[in-house]
Amino acid sequence: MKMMIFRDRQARVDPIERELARLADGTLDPDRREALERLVAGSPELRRRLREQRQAVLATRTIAQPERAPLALRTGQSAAAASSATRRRRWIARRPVLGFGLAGAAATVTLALATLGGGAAGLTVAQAATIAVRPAIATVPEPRDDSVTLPQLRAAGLPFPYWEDRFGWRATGMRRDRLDGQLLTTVFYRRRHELIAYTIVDGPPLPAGTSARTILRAGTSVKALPTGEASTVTWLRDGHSCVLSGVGVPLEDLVKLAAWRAY
Amino acid sequence: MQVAADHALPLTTASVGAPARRLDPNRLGDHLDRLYRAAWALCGSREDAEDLVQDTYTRVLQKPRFLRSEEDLGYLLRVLRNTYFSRLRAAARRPRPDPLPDELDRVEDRNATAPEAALNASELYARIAELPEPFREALVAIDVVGLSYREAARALRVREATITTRLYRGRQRLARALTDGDPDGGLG
Repeated sequence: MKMMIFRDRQARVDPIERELARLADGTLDPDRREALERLVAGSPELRRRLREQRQAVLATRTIAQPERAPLALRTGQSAAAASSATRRRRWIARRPVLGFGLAGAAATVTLALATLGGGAAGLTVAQAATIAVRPAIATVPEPRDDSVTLPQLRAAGLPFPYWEDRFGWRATGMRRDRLDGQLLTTVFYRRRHELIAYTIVDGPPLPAGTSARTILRAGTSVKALPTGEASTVTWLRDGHSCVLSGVGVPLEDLVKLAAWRAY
Repeated sequence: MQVAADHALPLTTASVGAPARRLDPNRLGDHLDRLYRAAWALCGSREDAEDLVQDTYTRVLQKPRFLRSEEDLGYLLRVLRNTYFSRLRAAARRPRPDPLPDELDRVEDRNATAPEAALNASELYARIAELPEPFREALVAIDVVGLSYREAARALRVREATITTRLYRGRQRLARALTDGDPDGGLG
């Protein structure tokens, strides 16, 4: 009897469910991804199922994830941690504990950058940087040994850098968007709990705005935008705007990455 | 019951043999936002979520915690989940208190989202809270909290394949609920 129940349960497992789930959020193995995408392309049923997965992913990442804990809860948690530290002397002195999760940070990016928007005059750097709050929709291939760029991934003919070995930033995903008629390709990099987005705009250079500050580093002219808790820098590569942004990441780190010219 | 291949994850020798490290109470605040979102998705209301997170932190801070081979966030999510079920059981045994009066002083919360955004978020969280428990937990762990599949499987003590199947079905129901308000519509 037990064996019959077990078989019945197994029969209900559809392996493609797992692959569709991973394809939707960009965690499917790249080797398997191409095959599955071909399969999906030829099946209206699978296209519908994948669309549902992506719809849910999009909803949770764009609506649910930007939510932050309310002030009262932050204050209470901070006080509780402090109280706990007081009770136990072996717990070291209190450090700032206000959390700043990636998704909450993303919301701040949106708010900060929204104030710098370029209005109807065309796409601006600030608007391009809002891509940073969107989720990755595909994985990025691993580089070969000693490579300083990510393989098979170009935008406007330009490769994206491989930063993991040198700076600790691991490429975790990518997405493509069309904003104001221009194609934006973005690669997301993660280092511990920090996330940054590197966008290359396939089009003419974007205006950075009059409030941008110019920093000259290693021969590269980098413009830094004042975006509150979010850091955003932009510079040109072969006449194309590149935008690097992140929350809680020191501006100096972004400038260093922008000025790195090993690729 | 649609969950298949639901096996408890065995405790491996690797996890048993790993050195223990103490959970740093001063780092707990780093996870506050994500735990709050997880609590909201479990409870379906902001107010209950705040209480749940507070209870969770209180429980964690009661004594030093030592972890083996586990991320802080995954551990905290499991404590949150256990606290949630404890509260459910306790609530079933006692009458609910009356709500607070409305004439309390209002203080601006700069972390609060705009009203129109809050409406959407409330709807979404309510839909997530309505999902069947296994699907909801998988979706909360991976899509709302942001754990990897492996971390989520460890936190919920199920296999990674099981988590993935549950996630698929949770997303499917959520998408249908958001589209036509019927999470079960068309499900076989």
